[in-house]
Amino acid sequence: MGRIKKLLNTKTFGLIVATIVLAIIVTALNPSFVARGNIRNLLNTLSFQGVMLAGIAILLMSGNIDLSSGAVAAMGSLVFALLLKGFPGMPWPVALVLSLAAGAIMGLVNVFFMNVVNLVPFIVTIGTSSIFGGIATVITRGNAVPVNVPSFLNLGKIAFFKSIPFVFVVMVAVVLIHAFVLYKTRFGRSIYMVGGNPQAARLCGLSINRTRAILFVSNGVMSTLGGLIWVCLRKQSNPASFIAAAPNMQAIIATLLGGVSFMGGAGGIGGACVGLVLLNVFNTGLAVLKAPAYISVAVNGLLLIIALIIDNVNSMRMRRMLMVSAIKEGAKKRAAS
Amino acid sequence: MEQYLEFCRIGKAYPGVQALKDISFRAEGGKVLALIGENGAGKSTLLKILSGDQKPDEGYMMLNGEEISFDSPCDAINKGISVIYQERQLIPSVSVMENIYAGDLPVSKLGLFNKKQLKKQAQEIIDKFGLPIDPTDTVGFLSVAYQQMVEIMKAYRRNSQVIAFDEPTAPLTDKEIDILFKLIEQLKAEGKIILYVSHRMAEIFKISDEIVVLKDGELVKTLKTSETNETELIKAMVGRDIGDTYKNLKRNNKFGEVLLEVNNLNTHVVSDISFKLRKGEIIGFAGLVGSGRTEVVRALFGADPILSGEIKINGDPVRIRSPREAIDNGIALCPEDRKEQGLIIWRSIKDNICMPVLDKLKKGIFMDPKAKEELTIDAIERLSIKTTNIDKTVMELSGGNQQKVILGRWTSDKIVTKILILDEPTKGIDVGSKAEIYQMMCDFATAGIGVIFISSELTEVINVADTIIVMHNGHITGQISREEATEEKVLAMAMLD
Repeated sequence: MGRIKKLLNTKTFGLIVATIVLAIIVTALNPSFVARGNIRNLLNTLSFQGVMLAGIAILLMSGNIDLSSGAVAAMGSLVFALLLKGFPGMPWPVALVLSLAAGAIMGLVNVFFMNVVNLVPFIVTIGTSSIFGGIATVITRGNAVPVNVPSFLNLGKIAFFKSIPFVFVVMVAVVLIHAFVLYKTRFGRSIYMVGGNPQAARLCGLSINRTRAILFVSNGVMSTLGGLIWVCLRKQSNPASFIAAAPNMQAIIATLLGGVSFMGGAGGIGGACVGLVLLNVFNTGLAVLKAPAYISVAVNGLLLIIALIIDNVNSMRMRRMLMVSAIKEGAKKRAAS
Repeated sequence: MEQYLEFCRIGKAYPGVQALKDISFRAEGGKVLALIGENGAGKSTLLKILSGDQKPDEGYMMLNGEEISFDSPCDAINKGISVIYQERQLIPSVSVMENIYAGDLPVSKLGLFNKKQLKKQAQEIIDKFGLPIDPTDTVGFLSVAYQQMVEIMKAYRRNSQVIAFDEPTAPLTDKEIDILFKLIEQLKAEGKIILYVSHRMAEIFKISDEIVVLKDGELVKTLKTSETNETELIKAMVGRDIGDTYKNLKRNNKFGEVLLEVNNLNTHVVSDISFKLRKGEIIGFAGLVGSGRTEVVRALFGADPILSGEIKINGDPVRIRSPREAIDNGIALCPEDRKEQGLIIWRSIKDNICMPVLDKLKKGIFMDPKAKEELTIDAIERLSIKTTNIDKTVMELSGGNQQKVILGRWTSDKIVTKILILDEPTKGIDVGSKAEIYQMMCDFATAGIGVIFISSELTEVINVADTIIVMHNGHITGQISREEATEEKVLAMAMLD
């Protein structure tokens, strides 16, 4: 019972309610929202965004940020498409592994600038985002590179019970693995500590640089995986349009919406996922209700600001607790005694 | 085997100050050694050396007969030294148990994080100390007292041989102090080497076995607590004939009309603050660290939000919502932390002095470099700031001269300062510069400025200020004139419940 009560009190629960209410409202306004095709589309979108979200959420919890993951995903998935095009005999799983390795290398480039050159993640990833994205667009000259490997493209068509896409299951697996690492391993717990107070974490013998290195490399791989799912669904790699769609920004917005602190150290992966669902119900809802396509971009921005306001209020509350508690609690106790 | 920590001829100098000189003493296991001394006596520096934060210029430390030196604070912790600072080294967003075991979380046979085991182990430690904390509580939402207990349990869990406390009781209530002392007794019984830094006499007699008295970076005396008394300690701490410094001040004794009137001011931290400041008067704010002195002046200066209350300047009610509005109303603040809040440390003396009056140093729409230069040279001459040229960065100056740069900024003829607030202006500066700063305050008062002076050094406040306001727990608990004020009276008000 206690557990359930606790759950009902969390912000995540509030978000779930908000999501359901929103879905009901949209369905009431236009029942085609719950049409099989639409749900399938929604789940497809959640798949590649969710994979990217997993890596980004953990990075934010550790007090880091990666603005380059969209470009990494575009570049990584382009590597995949180019390998298949350039070496027609290459089995696609080999190309997949190589492209994930490319993602890891791009993560390492980020780590190099942070840990060796000592630049802050925000600046580094703005820079590398332009670099990777720019290179990918130059290679393709802004065009798409088609992928014509039936066995790979089939993965985008498989669906369980006719409505749960295979790629969605992949996403769920990725999220569960991340949650497992976060909650069930020492390393996962240290992410919260490094994010919550790096100075204190360092004094406890935790390495900030090591944590950051692992997370950025892993995020490079996850971003690329997200990009590959996108390729699988669209049957082509198109860095320019992928970067324009900015699924990584959606993931960041969703993560913050889901209660992960921008300052690091707090939040959970479940909350981030709920945030992503909410965001996508919102966007799909707007589309179903025939709102102009680009209005959702503006609305997403607004949601991000709202999420940051909530985060700000929370961390102010904690800071104020730290500052005031000595004085106020002392006074209270004195009054009581 | 008997455990002991020995400091051998430790010396440390900062630019402009010899912080420690030839310090040698020995702390034994199973005993509490108290380090006392006035502010600036060198206690903090000694702790910084012990915690691996700073390296001594001279001398070394020995633990159980072996020489020890640390590359970093982390290294010191690994070698069994835990220093518990007032700024707690905890992770606020994480649970108590994870804070206690940070860096050494228990794992199951499969190598996975074992939450159950962690909870059990943490609960054992909490029970050992008899604390009413739940291991799953989030540290950020605990009171400061319990946060400190978590810090102690963390040190205990690490099996630290040496545990040093830096003014641990400053933010605690009496009841909480009792709990803390019980914890320390337990640590003592287990043979730990305990260093205890505090300003509070009563506590030192209650908890310590031995006392080391520091003064101006030198070791004055090592005493057995049972063989000494407060009078002897105070004598050892003060020792130096400071009376003359204060006697020789050329004071202002003509007070004008009321300049600043504060009625029932409330902020998030302080409540019901009322006082009056006259022209030419120096008001001193005394009180323990955390009593809310700084918060009062930050609110007056528009740096912290005011919830309710009235501020009148020259009899007119004013609204102060930002430092800019405070400056426009003739209020100037020399903040507590010179380097963080007072100065732009890597900029020149000139830039720092001209900062608030840039728009008065223009020729047309451009800056007038000559006017900037003149203003700076004027300040350097008025306040005798020791520097070779006006473009030197403030970083290169000694603490006293840095403070003078801030004073120079607010007292130039380009700015109308009616009320000058100095928050801990003499913190970390040498005795000679202190006397100079006292005299400057008196000179400003003579010139008709109302001065508000905050200091943790009691002797300083009660000897320099004309009126002393004492704060405790966010309230004003007393007001007393210099003639009537004694350290005992003011301390009683500052600690009274």
